[in-house]
Amino acid sequence: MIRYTLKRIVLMFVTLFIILTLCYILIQLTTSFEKRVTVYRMSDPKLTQEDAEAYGRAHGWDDPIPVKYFNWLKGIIKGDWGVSVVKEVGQNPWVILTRFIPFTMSINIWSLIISVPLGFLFGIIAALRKNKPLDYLISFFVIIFISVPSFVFVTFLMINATSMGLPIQFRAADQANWKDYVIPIMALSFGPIATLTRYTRAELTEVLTSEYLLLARTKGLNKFQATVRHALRNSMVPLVPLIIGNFISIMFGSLVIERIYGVKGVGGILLEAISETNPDHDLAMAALAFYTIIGLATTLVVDLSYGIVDPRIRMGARK
Amino acid sequence: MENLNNKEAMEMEFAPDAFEFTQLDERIFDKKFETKAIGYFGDAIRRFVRNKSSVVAFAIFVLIILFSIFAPIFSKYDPYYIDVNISLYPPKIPGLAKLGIFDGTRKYKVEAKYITTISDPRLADMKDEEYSKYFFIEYIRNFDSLEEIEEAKYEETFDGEVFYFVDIKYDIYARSAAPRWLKDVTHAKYLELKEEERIVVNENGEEMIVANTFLGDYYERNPQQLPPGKTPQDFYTYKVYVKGFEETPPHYFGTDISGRDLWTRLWMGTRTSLLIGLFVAVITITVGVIWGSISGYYGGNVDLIMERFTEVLGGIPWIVIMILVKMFLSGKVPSLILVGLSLVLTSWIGTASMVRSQMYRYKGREYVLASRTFGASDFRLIFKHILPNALGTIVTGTILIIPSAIFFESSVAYLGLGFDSSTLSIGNLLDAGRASGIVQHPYLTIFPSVIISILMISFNLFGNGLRDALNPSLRGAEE
Repeated sequence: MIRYTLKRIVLMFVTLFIILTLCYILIQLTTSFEKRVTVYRMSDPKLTQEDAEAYGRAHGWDDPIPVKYFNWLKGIIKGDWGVSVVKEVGQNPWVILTRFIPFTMSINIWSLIISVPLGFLFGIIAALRKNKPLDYLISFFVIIFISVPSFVFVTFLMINATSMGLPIQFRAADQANWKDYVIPIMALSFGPIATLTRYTRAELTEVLTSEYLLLARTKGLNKFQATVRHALRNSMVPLVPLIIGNFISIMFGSLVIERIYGVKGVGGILLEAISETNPDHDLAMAALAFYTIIGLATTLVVDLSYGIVDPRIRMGARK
Repeated sequence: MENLNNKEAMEMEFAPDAFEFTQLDERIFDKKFETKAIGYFGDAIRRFVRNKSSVVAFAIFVLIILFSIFAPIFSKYDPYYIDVNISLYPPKIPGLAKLGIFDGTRKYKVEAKYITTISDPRLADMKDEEYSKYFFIEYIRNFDSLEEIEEAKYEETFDGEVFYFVDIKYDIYARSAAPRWLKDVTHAKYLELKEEERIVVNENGEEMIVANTFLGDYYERNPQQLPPGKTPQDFYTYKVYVKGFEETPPHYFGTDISGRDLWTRLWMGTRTSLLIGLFVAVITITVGVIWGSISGYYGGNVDLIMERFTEVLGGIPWIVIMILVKMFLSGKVPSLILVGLSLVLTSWIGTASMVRSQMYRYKGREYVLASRTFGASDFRLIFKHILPNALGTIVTGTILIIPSAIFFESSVAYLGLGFDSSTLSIGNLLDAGRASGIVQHPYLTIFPSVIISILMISFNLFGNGLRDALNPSLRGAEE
């Protein structure tokens, strides 16, 4: 297991490296020294063209792409991601990002925390009441909540925000309290709850008909004990990776939700940094790296979780 | 002895010509089936029809397609025609007005002193800025007279100053029939209005107009810069106070900030979204099938290299791909292709890996071996022998690409990475609704949201039904 894990981690870093290299080169190809200098000059009206060009040369903007690339790599190892020229002039992009990451992460993690127990709960109810009215009711809502995009939910929540006593937009960072998080977290949770409900129901109905569950009932466990201790544990195998995988979809759903609700998160930074008129290249790279790392790390955890929840897969990997 | 006797007795009793051959030259082993054989697709249709929710979903889906084709054709509004005088009209559907919904009214909270009657003599001399503050009792639907307003008004204090407010429901459409200020009137339109004697004249005999002659005067002074075929007067713009027109005809879904009809725009947008879904699905399947076939059929090193490639590409989050495509190709290709390309780039990997696994499943089968022994080429083996067998799985695995493409189009439109703003799509309409204010003008977002939700739900139900119907392993499994 340890060897397998290490192998996967190394592979992840290789993939990350390739993706970042690709992104860096492609982004550099879309820009030029003159353009970057012009963007930098716009940040401060007092700057002369000469000053701006000198600043650009000092940061190696006029180097050939391979040289720039290796300098950039060297910088990253030291935690230096270049300079932001639009958002906060002269600041290290990673430092800027770290101020915005908490907003994005808290929305995403809370939505995961809320959706997991609710998804299990509805899934278990539906499985235990299979083909009864309650099951049909749950299935009906599941199909709606799986299909309807999260940005539709956020729209409807925002329209009704005042009647629920919630702010209609995410307020500025210093005024924001828990109330500002309610709407984005709710909008992001509906989809994952529905997905988890559907899969829990499917897995549980399969397990509930198995013989060892009958044995569990015959030895005297009541239905609740048998379901939770035996059936649920076995249906976990495909569900744990699903839950973690949900995190990716929540993460990227939150890009849109952040934009609509005006949350000051990484998504907004990324979109500002790639604007066509004044792009902030180094900041864009850092934000792209953030999303890539999250994506790859989640995939890695999904793959490893198979081994953790199912000992048979772990055994297979040892061979 | 006895046996022999028996035999003799039999021969005696049955003469050979008492027997008759039932058949001599035809070989019939079994009774022929009287029922018709059910083929794969016949069976699929039969099972699909039995699934009620899928059939309903399919019907709704067809209805949406029909609307997206015919609603813009039969609409009397041009989806691109801008008229700021009917900006942000609320939705009005004639049949539903009695129920109190979509009746073309908007709620306002106004100061009671700005409510008056249409015949108020003070109005005659007012400039547009002042005039537009007033609301007329004739068009307020929840109060009948100024006395009722007086009773209903309530008091609020700001900075020590007392204001009296009242909540009203104002009929915007009926209001359009009353005298009002028209904005952005051109010189030609002005002359036309003058001809028809629509312009209100005040008691001093002056026309109630505000002319902006700045640009026209400039050309008057510099005639050499005047564009050919124009007069300086062509550059005048007017605000004109006109007598009542006919009431604005109903806009079912209201109008947007530029006064364009949302009903027509929405169905046009649905058309684009459906087309982009279809386009992406076709390209994705083509690319995925070719890539997956080669990778799966040849296996070995070819497979290894192709797999590593898709692995890396699949590891890139879609937002990164979208941004790179946008940064790289923006302005060089039409935005329809740009968005399509970025959607294809994010979705073909799934199809490819599915086709690949199907290739692995079938390429070792005996019939493939037999065909190869006869000298069939690889191309023929892939497309003639293996793919048709895997078709059911591939179709069911790819049918949901269409709704997910529509969903992604809307998402990226929200992020500003979608079509350019001149293209009508559901995503662009949603983003425009967001920009106009979701809370202030909810109908601009609600209608596109409802359409895309219905589209997604019906497509998912339909896709699930189709998948169950086409899945060979479920054949005859139910009931």
